[in-house]
Parts: sequence; structure tokens; C-alpha cells
Amino acid sequence: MVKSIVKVFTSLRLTVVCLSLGILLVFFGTLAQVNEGLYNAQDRWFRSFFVYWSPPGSNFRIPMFPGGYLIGTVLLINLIAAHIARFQLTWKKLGIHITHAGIILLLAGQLATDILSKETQMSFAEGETKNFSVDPQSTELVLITDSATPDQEKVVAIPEGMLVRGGEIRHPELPFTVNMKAWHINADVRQRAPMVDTNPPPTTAGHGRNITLIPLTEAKKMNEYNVPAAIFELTGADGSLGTWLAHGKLRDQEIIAGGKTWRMTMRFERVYHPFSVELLKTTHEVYRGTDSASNPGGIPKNFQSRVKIENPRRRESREVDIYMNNPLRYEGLTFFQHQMGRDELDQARGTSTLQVVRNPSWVAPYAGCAVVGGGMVIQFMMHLVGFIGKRRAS
Amino acid sequence: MYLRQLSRHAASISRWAPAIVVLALLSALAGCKKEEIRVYVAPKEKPAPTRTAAHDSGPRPHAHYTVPGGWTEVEPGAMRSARFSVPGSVGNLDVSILPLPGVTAGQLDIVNLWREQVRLEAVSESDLGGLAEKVRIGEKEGELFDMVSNDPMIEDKHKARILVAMVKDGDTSWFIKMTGEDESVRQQKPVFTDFLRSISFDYSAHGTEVAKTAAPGAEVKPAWAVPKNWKEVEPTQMVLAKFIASGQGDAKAEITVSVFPGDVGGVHANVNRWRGQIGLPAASDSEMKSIIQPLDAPGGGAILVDMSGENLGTKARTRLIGAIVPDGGRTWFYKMMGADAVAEAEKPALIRFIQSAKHSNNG
Repeated sequence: MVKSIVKVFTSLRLTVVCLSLGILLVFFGTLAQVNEGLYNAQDRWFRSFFVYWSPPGSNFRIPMFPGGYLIGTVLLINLIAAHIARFQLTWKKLGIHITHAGIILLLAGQLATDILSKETQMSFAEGETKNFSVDPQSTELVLITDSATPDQEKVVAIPEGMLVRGGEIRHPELPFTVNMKAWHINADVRQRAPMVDTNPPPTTAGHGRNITLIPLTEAKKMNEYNVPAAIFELTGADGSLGTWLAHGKLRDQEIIAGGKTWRMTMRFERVYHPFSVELLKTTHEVYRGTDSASNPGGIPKNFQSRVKIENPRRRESREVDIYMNNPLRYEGLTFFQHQMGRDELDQARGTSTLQVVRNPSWVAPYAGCAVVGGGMVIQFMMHLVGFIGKRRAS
Repeated sequence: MYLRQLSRHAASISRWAPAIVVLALLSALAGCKKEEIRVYVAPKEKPAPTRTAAHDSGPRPHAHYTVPGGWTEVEPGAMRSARFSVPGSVGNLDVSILPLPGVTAGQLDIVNLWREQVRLEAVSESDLGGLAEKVRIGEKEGELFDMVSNDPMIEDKHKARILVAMVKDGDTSWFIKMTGEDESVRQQKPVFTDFLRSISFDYSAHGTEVAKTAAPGAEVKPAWAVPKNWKEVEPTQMVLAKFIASGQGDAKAEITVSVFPGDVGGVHANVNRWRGQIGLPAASDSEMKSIIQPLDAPGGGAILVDMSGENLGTKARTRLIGAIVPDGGRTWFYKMMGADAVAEAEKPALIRFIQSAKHSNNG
């Protein structure tokens, strides 16, 4: 038994099988992005142990291909097991050991990136200051009330996953339970038109009474976002507080419960930072003469955001330029210039979106490549030196 | 020999087994990030800096007009400058005047937006000219679009019709719209076009006339004696002042004061609006006589109503005590709404509060 397990996990055939499956996975996973969208395909093909398929109209799932996590884990175990089983502490194999260590570092680093990294965005118009960034792939239902200090507020954020699962949601901080009635992955809202919208409104309380909800298909393109909608009933100590609609386009709604006033809204998940960033100026330059009828914007030459960072903890206040290939690295975060535009209501005012990435293991791929390269050079040089020595001797 | 080699491999792997297990667990963890409710304290958001003057600051444009017979002026809401309810054969027709300063959207988009409301296909720029009728709006020439649905949309029996007149006056686009059942709107069309001719646009913010017609937000609170146990809170939109009176436990009542130009549709329409807020059916003119009581307030002509119904959300028993106080060219609305016991206890205080208010036109 032990013998066969060891044989399987130390086998070079397993390595070849894993690498071949990896190639196929990358090929099909990339093609799948056309129909499934970038983020859905990433989750289904690469961030999973199996790629499942459901027969149309059924609920059960059939695993049809190993997912990225399974192939990566087996490959990592295979690499380590083979390395240990064939390990010989000799100077002759130093280069090979170092190369293997580099590959292990690459695989482990990718795993750490997957677990630990977080990608968010900070969008603002000139003159605006932000102390948080948002994750546009993740929505949450937030309930906000006053905190003990006047310039702060307490936020209870219910993540999208819990809303999708439905049922009853309780939390000790909330004076009511949230009972999910309906969830739409993507929807639009519009004001109910008198005499035209004759169906009953979607809710009995809040803005939902004056709104018509229009369910939309899921957004799958990279530059499109879903705006989900949730309909739920709130039940306080004295009974129902009515059914409510939460949607990203609606203004905050007031709920009075448990002697406190709460504000409720649906928004992208927020990550707060201990410093603030103010957008001072945006610069959008194009190559002269490249604007034409088919491409009125021209070919972009430079996107640049001048921002001011205020960090009371460090007593720091400084201005920085962020532009293409010149990100700002600050407090463990990297700020990349992502998008640039104009304020919809005020065309004279520039807007900018920075991509904010927290990736504690960002050094791993660089270090892994360097170690692999170093190991290969050492192994090659040892062979070369040995070969030259032998030729001289003969 | 082979067995010995194998056992050596097995032994060396077993030494590394914990590391392999940890790695496998780590990768498993990556697949199942647990989602849970987050609770955190965050700094209150600073309001965004004001946009250009055309959008937020400055006086709101408003219109002057002659209200046709049979039309009732109702509360316009945040965006509209005026709104009317017109009796029709199937429900009431809705007429609104909407000024949009600095609107840059094309006429085509706006027409198609309304066509969508009556489930008509979007039209192209070239078709647009053929759909517009020339119409007089005050002293300007505007365009009138007359759209009727192909399918029955009202109670699934009657077609819906929208009349929209639009004109650009300086930086402001004005939209005057009538919506309702096809036949009723068709009959009202001559009245609507007469109404359009009576409109004049006003962008001023000064002088006594404007003080009466400016948005409620521009009002200054009158001198009044607020009962000591009432707690003043931040008023919401369209409300001049808001107070909370608390009773035993969680029981409380909310007192709001608002002021609007004109008579805002008259006493009956507003009492019925209040009845709707506590789930009561609209009262007929004869029933009104028993509902409305006179109220002794400076200036004369004030009325008081005291009604019990239910909270539309919680279905809890709710009392509404309201007063309508005419004040020269405008009308003050005082409303106390909330738990029965609190409203009963605070009713004398509310009346004293109303009587203490020194409205601008009654000294």
C-alpha cells in the first residue's frame, strides 16, 4: 500500500500528466472566458478543485475536469515527494536542488497570492478625498448607525454570499432580522411611472414603494459590473418593519428600530485605509495627430493622477504622481493608474480610478524565478567545468 | 535491497508528511474563504464638494401658470416644479412641470425614454421631426410629443397616453407632461395646450414674491416655542423642521413642519393624502365635515385633524394629528404621527406649539 502510494507520488509520469492537464486547463479556461466572463471563468476553472458541469435543467453537478487547485496541489506534492525520495546530498546535484526549490517557491507563492492578495479600486473626481477602496466584484448590504464618537459611524456589512444563500440573517449588533425574499444578480431600477406601472411595487416600505425593478442578465465582460438587488423583510422586536428593496442606485434608506436610526444601502465591499488620498489633478495626454473620426480620443500617451496622501498616524502629508508603469507603493499597498474619465455632470472635472492591490507575497514570483535561474546556471556551469576539465586531462 | 530502499524513501517522506499536509490544507483553504458579517467603525463621510453652480447651488427655476378648472395642485416632490391631478374616466391623470438646468442629453434620448414608458419602440433621429407638433409654451415655441401605447397597460384594459411638451429656455430644459388613460388624456389635450400657453418661467431668487414660492429648503424657521421634551432632529427633504417626542419604552411620535407656496391642492386633498399615509381610505367631501375641526391659530382659517390608522410598514396602530395653517400666499403643514399614547399625551403641546409660531405673514 505504502509502496504504491509512494510510487505514484514520486513518479515522473505524474509530473507529465499534471503539466499536460495544466496546459489543457489553461487552454479551455481561457476559451471559457468568452462565454462565462473573466471572473466567473477564473473561479470555475482555476480557483476550484474540480470543474463541474450540470446537465441542463438539473441541480446536480458532475466533475468533468480537474480544477487549478487540484492540479497545483498534486504537482506540488509530486515535486516535493520526488525531491525527497531521490534526494542525494552531493555537490553534484546542488543546481538541481536549487532549481527545484525555486519551482516550489513559485507554486507556493502563487498559492499565497491567491489566499492573501486583495484587489480593490479607488475612484474619485478631482477635489474628492477617499479613505477607502472598493471591490467591484463583491457587493454587500450595509446598515449604518451612529457610533459612540460623533465623527464616526458603526457599519454592519452583510456579504453578498449570505444574501445569495437567502434565509434568515441575524447579528447581535442588529435590532432586527433580515429575511431574504428575492435576490437578483444584476438589476436596474426606475421611478414608477404614474398610470403606467400598474403592478404592485416590489416592497411595502422604503424607496421600493416608488420603484420598478428591472432584472437584467449577469454582466460577464471585464468592463461591466453587476448591480445586484435584494428584497427582504425586516422583523424587529415588535414585529415586521415591512419589506425593503436594496440596490446600488438607490439612496440610503432610513430604518428606525431598537431606539436607533439606521441607514441601509447596498454598495461594493469597502476596504478602509488608515490614510486618505485626495485627487488633485488628472492629466490625460494623447499622441499629437492620432485622433481621427474612427478614434476621436486618439492614442493615449500618458494617464497621470496627482494625489495628496494624508496620514495622521505618521503625520505625513505629501503629493505623489501615479502614472502608467509608475505605481505608488504605500503601507503594503500598490496603487496603479487604472482608468480615467470626465465627470458625467461636469465635463470640466477629471475623474480617475486607481487599482489598489494588497499582495504580501508579490516578491515570491520574482524570487522564485531568480532561484530557478541561479540553480540552472550553477548546474550548467558545473557540467561545463567538469567537461572542460575532462578534455584537458585527456 | 529494494525493500530497504523503499523503507528509506517512506521514512524520509513520513518526516516531510506534516509539511505536505499543511500545504494541502492551505490549498484547500484557498478554495473556501468563509463569508461572515463584518462590523466596523468608520469615519463619517465628508460630503462631496459642490458641483458647478448650475447643478446644486442657486435658486431652483419655477413656473407661474393658470391652473385649469378641475385640476388639483398636489405636492410636487423633489424634482418637479409643480404637479397636478386631473380627474379622468379611469383613475386620475398626472400632470407635472419638470425644469432640468444644464441638461445635455439629446432630445432623441429623452423622447425614447418616455416612449419606453408606454412600451413603444425607440425612434431614430430622422423620425423624430415627424413626431413633433409645434406648440406655444408661454411666450416660446416648443414641441409636443403625443405617445400612445399599442397594448392595454392600465388595469390591463386601457391604453396609456403621454403628452410631453418640451422647450429650452437659456440653460434650462423644461418638460411639461400629462400621463394617463388614452381617452381621458385625448379629451384633456386642448386644456393641456391652453395650460402650456399660460406658463411663464421664473429663475429669480429675490423679493417678496420669491420668498413665497422658493423651495422649502430656503425657508427660515419662524419664532416658536418648542415643548421642552421634544428633541429636534435633522429634517428630511421638503421638511422645514422635525422633532421627536418619546413616550414609555420605544414609543414615540414624529412631529414635522413644512411650508409650501399656494394652497397645495386644498385642505381636502391634503387630509386625504395624510389618510393614505396611515392606510385609511380617502374621505368624501361630506365625510370631511366630521373629520376637520377648526383650530384657533394666528391668521385664522386653520384646521386640525386627528385620525387613527396603521403604520404601512409595521402595521402597528398609528395616530396622525395634523394642522393646516394658511399664511398669505402659502400654507403651513404641522403633522404629528406615531404611537397612539404619545400622540394623545402630546396633542395639547402640539396645539400650543402651532399657536406659538410667528409665521412671516401673520406677525
